[in-house]
Amino acid sequence: MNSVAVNKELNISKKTSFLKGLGNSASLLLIAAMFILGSIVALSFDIPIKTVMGGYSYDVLVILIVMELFTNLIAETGIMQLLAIKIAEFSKGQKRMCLILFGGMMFLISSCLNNITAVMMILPIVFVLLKTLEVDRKYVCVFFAAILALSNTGGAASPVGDFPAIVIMTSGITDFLSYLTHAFPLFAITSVALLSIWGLSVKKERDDGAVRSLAVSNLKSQYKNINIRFDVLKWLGLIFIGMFLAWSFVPQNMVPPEAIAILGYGIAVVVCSLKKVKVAQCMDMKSVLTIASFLFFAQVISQTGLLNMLANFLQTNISNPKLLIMVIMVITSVVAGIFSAGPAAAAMMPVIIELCNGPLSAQSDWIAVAYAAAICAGSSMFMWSATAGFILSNKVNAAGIEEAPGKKATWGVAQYMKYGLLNYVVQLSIALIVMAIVL
Amino acid sequence: MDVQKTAREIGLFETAVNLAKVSSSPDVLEKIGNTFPIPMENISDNMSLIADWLLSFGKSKYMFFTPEIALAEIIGEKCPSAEIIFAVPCDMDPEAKERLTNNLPRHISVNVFEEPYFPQDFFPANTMFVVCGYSGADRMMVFPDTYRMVEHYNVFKGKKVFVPYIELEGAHRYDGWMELNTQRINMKWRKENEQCCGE
Repeated sequence: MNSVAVNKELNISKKTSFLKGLGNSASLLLIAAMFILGSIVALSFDIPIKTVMGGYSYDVLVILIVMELFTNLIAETGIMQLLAIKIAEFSKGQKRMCLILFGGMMFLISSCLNNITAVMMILPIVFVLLKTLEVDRKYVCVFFAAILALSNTGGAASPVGDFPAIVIMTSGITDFLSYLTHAFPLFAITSVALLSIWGLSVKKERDDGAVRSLAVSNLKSQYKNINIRFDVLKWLGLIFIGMFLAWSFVPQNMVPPEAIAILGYGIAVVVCSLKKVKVAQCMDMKSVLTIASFLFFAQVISQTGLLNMLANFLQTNISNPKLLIMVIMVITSVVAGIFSAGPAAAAMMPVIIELCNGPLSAQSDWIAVAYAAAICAGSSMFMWSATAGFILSNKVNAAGIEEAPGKKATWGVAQYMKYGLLNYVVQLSIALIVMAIVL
Repeated sequence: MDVQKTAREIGLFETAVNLAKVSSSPDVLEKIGNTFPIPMENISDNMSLIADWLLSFGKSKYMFFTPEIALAEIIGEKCPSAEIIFAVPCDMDPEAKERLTNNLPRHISVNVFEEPYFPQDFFPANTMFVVCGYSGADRMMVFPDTYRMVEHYNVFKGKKVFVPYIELEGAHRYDGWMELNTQRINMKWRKENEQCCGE
């Protein structure tokens, strides 16, 4: 090979590694860009950064971090593995039942705990089961599309489930109990609809069930001696119920939700330390920083008054409040779909607050839920829209589930696209119908 | 369904116990029959006999080349003071290894040891090797990684026994198995006389 060719190859290799490095740090660049852009906008509108930070939603970040750490403690008890094994056993390895039961579990766990951690906990068992059940590409796509959508609906069903719900709760337009009582039934109905649609798309097996039975038996053998720390779990459960009650009944202006979260986590850490359970302090700081940067940017935009103008514009041009909410829901869902849930929640929140302080103040609880439903629907649209999307995709691809002998199943942006759009349409349609009825 | 992969994680006997429950299914025979000899339904009874036979050597440590969880549990019930060592291949999937270390029997001391290292306090006087596989017409068949580990630990001068989870009369060779060199083994368990071939 001559030196020109070698140099050319070297240049290509350098370029490829540069692009790869850029791709890996794209999210970090986005975080930096949001902070820099926000600062430039604030300074060009003559708004001091100190004023921006005065209204910054630190409480959202605190709750987000604390809930993820609390989820780590629950995960250490091994309860999620036990639940997953029980589900596999109950389903008898039937693919449709597996989808429905794991999806239902995902919804319930995500409604209480951080959905990324919840996904991480059940995935190893799901992978082992799917590998032995011999699934095809369609089932892989349907299964994980359902899991992703249900982690979103679960996250929106309670005020502490996911970032948008935390933003809504801390905004003051609704309180913990009102949000929970309005949102949980709506998202439970949406989840049932999603499970029915995806469940029905899975064909029933036409075999004697022996291979499935063997798959479940082997799975049980792989986890039969795991140590479930019920002694710790009961205390953590008690603390979590206490936190839930405090969030529900203690006035936010007396003890703010983030203080309750910190207090609860503090007690949980003490219990775990006394019971000699590993207190894992690891968490995904990248997602926290992303949310922090978008909160900052949204706060800057809010201070400029542009969002108030947008809210006023919408109110002036759309006189029917019901229609107004629906239009905002559609806009919010599209923003959430394109830019992901975090930015959408942060960016559109000032508009929602403006509306709740205006003619729709009597309906603020439902508006909060409508807003959450729109973000939730948008989050299920594309893989990048969902909080757990890329993490789930990476794990599925790394698991090496075979769709045919020797052929590994891949599940990425393209494979999720059509399933995501259906998730979006179903979720938004249900939310719009419910809002048309209740508002 | 890759039963051999499962067997590498939970052991041949545990896999065989699960397989024995569905061994009459044509689907199972079709999917697994070429790679894993289908065990007899009375395999659980054999396991108790095998545990008794292993304990009769009076060793304090038993080093297995496949993670025989089911056998370790029975040995633990019969002799809680015995110590079990599972030697796992160095190329074992890290997730499978983590699952195995979290899934060790509780009522007996079990340690997982990774190839190519040697455990401490490991002498012919207190330890014996247990190699598991199946036998076909007196040929000892094991997984390729078990074969490799047996060769690697061949410098050990203590007792080395072969325990088949099933004894086949014919010499049919199943996919993914290798024949063990007879010189690597001192004794072999046989069901009919619960004894062994000579040293």
